[in-house]
Amino acid sequence: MAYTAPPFPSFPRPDTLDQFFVAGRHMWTDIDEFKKWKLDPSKVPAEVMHFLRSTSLIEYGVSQYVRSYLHYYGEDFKLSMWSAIWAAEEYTHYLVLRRMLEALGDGLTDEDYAGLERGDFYDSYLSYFESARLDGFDQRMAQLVFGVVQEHSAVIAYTAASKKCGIPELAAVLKRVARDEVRHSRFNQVTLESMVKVCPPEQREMIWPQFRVVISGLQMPQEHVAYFNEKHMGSELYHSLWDEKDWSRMVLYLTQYFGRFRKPLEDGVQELEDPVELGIAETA
Amino acid sequence: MPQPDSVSALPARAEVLAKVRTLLAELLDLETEDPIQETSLLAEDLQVDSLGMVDMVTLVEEAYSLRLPSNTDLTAIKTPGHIVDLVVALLEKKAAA
Repeated sequence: MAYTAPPFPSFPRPDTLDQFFVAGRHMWTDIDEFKKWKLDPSKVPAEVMHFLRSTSLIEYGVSQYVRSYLHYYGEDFKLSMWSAIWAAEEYTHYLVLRRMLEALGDGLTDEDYAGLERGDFYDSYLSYFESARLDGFDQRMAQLVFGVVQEHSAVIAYTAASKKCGIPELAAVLKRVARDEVRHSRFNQVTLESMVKVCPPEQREMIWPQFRVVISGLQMPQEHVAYFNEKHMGSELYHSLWDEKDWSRMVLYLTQYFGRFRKPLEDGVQELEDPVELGIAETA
Repeated sequence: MPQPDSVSALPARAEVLAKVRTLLAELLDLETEDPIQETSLLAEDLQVDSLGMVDMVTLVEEAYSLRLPSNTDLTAIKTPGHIVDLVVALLEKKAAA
C-alpha cells in the first residue's frame, strides 16, 4: 500500500527525538547495580509492595501499548519512531521495578506474567479511545492529549509511592522513575505544541474539550487486564496511595496545561512547576 | 495619603463574590444565581463535580487573568466563599508584586 503522509507534520525536525533518546540513555546506567541490592521488606508497606508488582507488570506490557500507538501514529514517521524509543524506556522501568521486588525478596512469578498476558489491552483500549475521541479530531493529537494525562498520572503515582515506601534508596529509585515519566509527558506536550503551530485552528480548538472528556473518564492500562483486579493491583490500589493533595496537584497541573490551548498559543508561555519536586516538597 | 493605584483598583470582596456567582451560574447552566450563596457547598448543594472544578479553575483564571499557584489545594475549596478568598488573596499578591 502506498505511503500516505499525515495531513500536517507532528514536528518539523528530529531534534526533539534526539534529545529524548539521549536523555533516556543517561537515566539508568546503573541498572545492573540493582541486582546486588538487598532491601528490608519489613519496612515497606504492603500497598507499596503491591504497587511495585503492579507497575512492574504494567511496564512489561509495553508491546501492547506500542501496538496502539502505532495504530494511531503509523503514518507519522517521527511519532512512530518515538513509540519505539519510548517502548525501550518503559521496558527499562519494568526491569528496574522487577529488580526492586527481587531486592525485597519478592520477585515476579510465572503466574504474574501469565495473568498479564491473558489481558486484552489492545482491543479494549482502541474501543475506549474511539469512544472518547472527539469527532473530527486528528487521531495523533487526540492520542497526545491522552498521553499527557496518562504519563502525568504515572508521575503522580510514582511520586506518591516514593513518599510512602519506607526505604530511602527505594524512594530515590521511584522518584527517578517519576522523573522519567515527566519526560514522557513533556514529550507529548512538546509535540502537541508543535502541531498546534501548523494545524488548522479548529484542531487546536478541540484540545480543551478532548482533555475534558479524557479527564472525566480516565482509564489506565490496569483496568483492561483482569489479573490486576484479581490480585489487588488495579486502580483502587493506586488511589489508595494518593492523598487529596496528589489528586489536586494533578488536576490543577493538567487544567492549567490544557487551558492554554483555549486560545492561540503565545510565545514565551510560562512553564509549569516540576510536578515531582512539587510532590516531594509538600511532604518534606 | 492616597492609596497606590494598583491597590485601589482591586475589586471589593463583594464584587468578586458577585462575579464568582455569575461564573458558577453559567457553569451550572442555572437561570438564576439564587441557589449560589457564599456558604453553599459546591459538591453537595450545587453538584459541582471534579470536572466542574476543572472548568471553574479555568473560568476564574481567565476572568481575573490569574494563575492559581501549583500547590493550591483544590480539595479545600468547598464553597463559593473559598473561591472568593483565593481570588482576593491572589489579586492582592499580584497588586503588591
